[in-house]
Amino acid sequence: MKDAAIDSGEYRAAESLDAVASLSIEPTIAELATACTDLRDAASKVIASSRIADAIARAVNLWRDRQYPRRADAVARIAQNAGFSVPSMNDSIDALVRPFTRAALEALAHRAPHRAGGNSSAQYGFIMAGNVAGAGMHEVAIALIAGASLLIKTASAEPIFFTEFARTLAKIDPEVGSRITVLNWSRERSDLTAIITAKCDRIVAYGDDATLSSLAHGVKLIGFGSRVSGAVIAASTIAPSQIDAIADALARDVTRFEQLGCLSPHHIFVMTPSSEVAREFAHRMSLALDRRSQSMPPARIPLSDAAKILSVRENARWRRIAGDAIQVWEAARLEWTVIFDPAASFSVSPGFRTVFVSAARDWTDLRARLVPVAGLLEAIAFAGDQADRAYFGGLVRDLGVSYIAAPGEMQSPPLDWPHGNGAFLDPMIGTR
Amino acid sequence: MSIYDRVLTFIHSPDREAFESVALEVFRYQFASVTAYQTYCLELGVNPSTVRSIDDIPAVSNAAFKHANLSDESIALPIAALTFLTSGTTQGRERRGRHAVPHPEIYRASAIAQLRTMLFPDDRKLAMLALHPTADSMPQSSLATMIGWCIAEFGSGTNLVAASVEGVDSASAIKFLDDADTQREPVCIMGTTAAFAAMVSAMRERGIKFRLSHGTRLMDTGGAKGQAMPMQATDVIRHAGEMFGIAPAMVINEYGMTELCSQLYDATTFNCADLPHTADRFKLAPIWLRVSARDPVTQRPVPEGEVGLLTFFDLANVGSVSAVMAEDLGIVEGGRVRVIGRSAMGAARGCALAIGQFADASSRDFEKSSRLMR
Repeated sequence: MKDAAIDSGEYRAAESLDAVASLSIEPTIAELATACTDLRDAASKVIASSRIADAIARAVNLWRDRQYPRRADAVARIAQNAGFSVPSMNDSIDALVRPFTRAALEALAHRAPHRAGGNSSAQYGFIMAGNVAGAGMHEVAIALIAGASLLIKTASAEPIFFTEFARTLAKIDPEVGSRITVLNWSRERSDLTAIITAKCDRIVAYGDDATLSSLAHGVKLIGFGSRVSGAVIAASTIAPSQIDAIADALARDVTRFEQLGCLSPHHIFVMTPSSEVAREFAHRMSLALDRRSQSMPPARIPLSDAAKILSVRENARWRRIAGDAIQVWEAARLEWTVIFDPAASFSVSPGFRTVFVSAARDWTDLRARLVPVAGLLEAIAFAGDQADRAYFGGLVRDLGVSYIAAPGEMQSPPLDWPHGNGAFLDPMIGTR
Repeated sequence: MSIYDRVLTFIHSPDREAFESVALEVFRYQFASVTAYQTYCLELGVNPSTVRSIDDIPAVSNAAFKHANLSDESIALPIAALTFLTSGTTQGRERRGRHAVPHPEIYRASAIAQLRTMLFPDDRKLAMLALHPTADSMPQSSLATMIGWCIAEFGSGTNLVAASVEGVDSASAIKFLDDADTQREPVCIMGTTAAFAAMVSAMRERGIKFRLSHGTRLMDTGGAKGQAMPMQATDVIRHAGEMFGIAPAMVINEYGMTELCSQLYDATTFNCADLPHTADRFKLAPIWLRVSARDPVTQRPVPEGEVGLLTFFDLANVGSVSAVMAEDLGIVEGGRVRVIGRSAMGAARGCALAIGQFADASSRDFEKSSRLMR
């Protein structure tokens, strides 16, 4: 079956939005316990990994189509809840599902240790983050293919994506679908959280560090905590003919999920001894973000985040007034901001299309700028030739960077992306 | 009459109706005499001819005090001039803010007048216990200076400064309170919320509780800043009652910052007789300090009762810049100010890092050494 082909019967079947019992209502203790038991039963039935991969591939195929009713409905509701524009949310979801090709899923199935029986009998509890719809999709697919059953607790701020995706999966293959239950309860319901901690073999948690530390009393936790990403433009690619294309690609990375995920770049380093070259790139980046805001209208920015953006802008403005070589390009309101701060070390931005641009003289200088955030960097978008990229990979290997992508590809990591340095992937599928 | 004299006269004889015209006059003076502020205003397309009301006046952020010279360049700095430094607790190792006060007598007049209204409305002279150093050991702290003035103005002559840059001397403070308790002498206890928390902890360890005399009061400031286990406002009130025997109405939180020469205090039935019974506390500013909540996008005031960035126009800041936008969110309604604070701004970032977390990580050591500063 080809990825591009959407079976029309499948489409119609999955289109029925009410076929699965509502999964996003807060369960009682008894209902949650029953769900855990049902999932354990579901995982005990043998399903080949290849069949699971096939079901996921077919479900993702549907979700690639912006007209697929369940996706269209979910995107509209997620965008509404998060204050994102629908075009921007659609673009973000497109980027999220892009790497889930049939070939990639089959390759995972081939690597799964239980591919013959398709049954690890393990039960995983997923505690999802609320700021990035679909964050955790990689681990969900990997766990399913490895034969596990999944109890997904969504965040109150984003209870939609996994609920709807699980419904698609259940429609396509009820047996595979029976291995996922998506529920939602508030952080305050520690009694419910305690049940999945007790019943599940492993807990996979996404979220801020406070969330993770609140769960860390158990020994079964795999946590994907607070991480950010950046970008590097090697000297070899800084050419007038390429600069706008790179800026446009990075603008895509920045705007997807409104820069709230761990794969969103916050700081761009231009490898050049000339501060003026980096400054010019910052200017082009501002133009790219401005162009992007025409086709992908920015989000409604929460007050607290708006205050942070204003604070970052004001800090830069006052440094410049005081004589620092810093420059700010900004949209009239807070839609996007580019701050050129030539000598800065890696800085975390408030998100919502706010980026820093700096110059790095050479590799040594670049590494020195990244070292302060060692262990907190998830990914780097790298623009450069193969030799530069290979060298750069070695340079940042010990800084905890798990993914080096081409500009524009940051939000679409491959399925074998060792998110969190392989803390999840390696035990599930085997070491790379 | 110089602008400084005009402001001092206003503080001594405040006139709500005249505030705006004095404020506009102060803005024009500052535009002309503080070069960096003039540059900032011009970048925003603002000059005295475009400013029609106080809401049109550009407010500077705390960052301005950190990076630029915001002092009055049109006068020779008097010998008595003071310069205060911020703690910089949220910005890591970045430079600290500097607030030059060319005429401290204006700052003193503002601080004392508001203390008289909010902390000493009964016009009593009290024994004073400072859980914060005074200016002799911490000259660059505005809070230290203010506490020194408070002791001089409202103290009975029995006082103790039970703190140094190293921290609170709990043993001395406990002995002071024990003596005051024995003599049934009411006390005014002043310090940061963190210092009060340290005091509570020390008393718990020793199994000590006081029932201090009627009229005893507590002024704490700073909130969660510098505390490993933040003590919330409601906790302060509760502990003040349980451990010191201080009535809730006598526990009065101050909101101030190095960048401002005027302060806000909790309104309670002690200092605000017609206060309605409500669980929610609010703060009151003096007439020479106008508070608004502004939209961070437009930087214009939000409607009354809506949340915005707290923004101040402090006439007592005449020697620097009067319009200051804080990093705290709050609500202003009918002159009542509710501070929501920065803590509420830390929305979960999912798999991305909340901006403060890096800063916190890098500033931890710095914060430890400067936590007593304001």
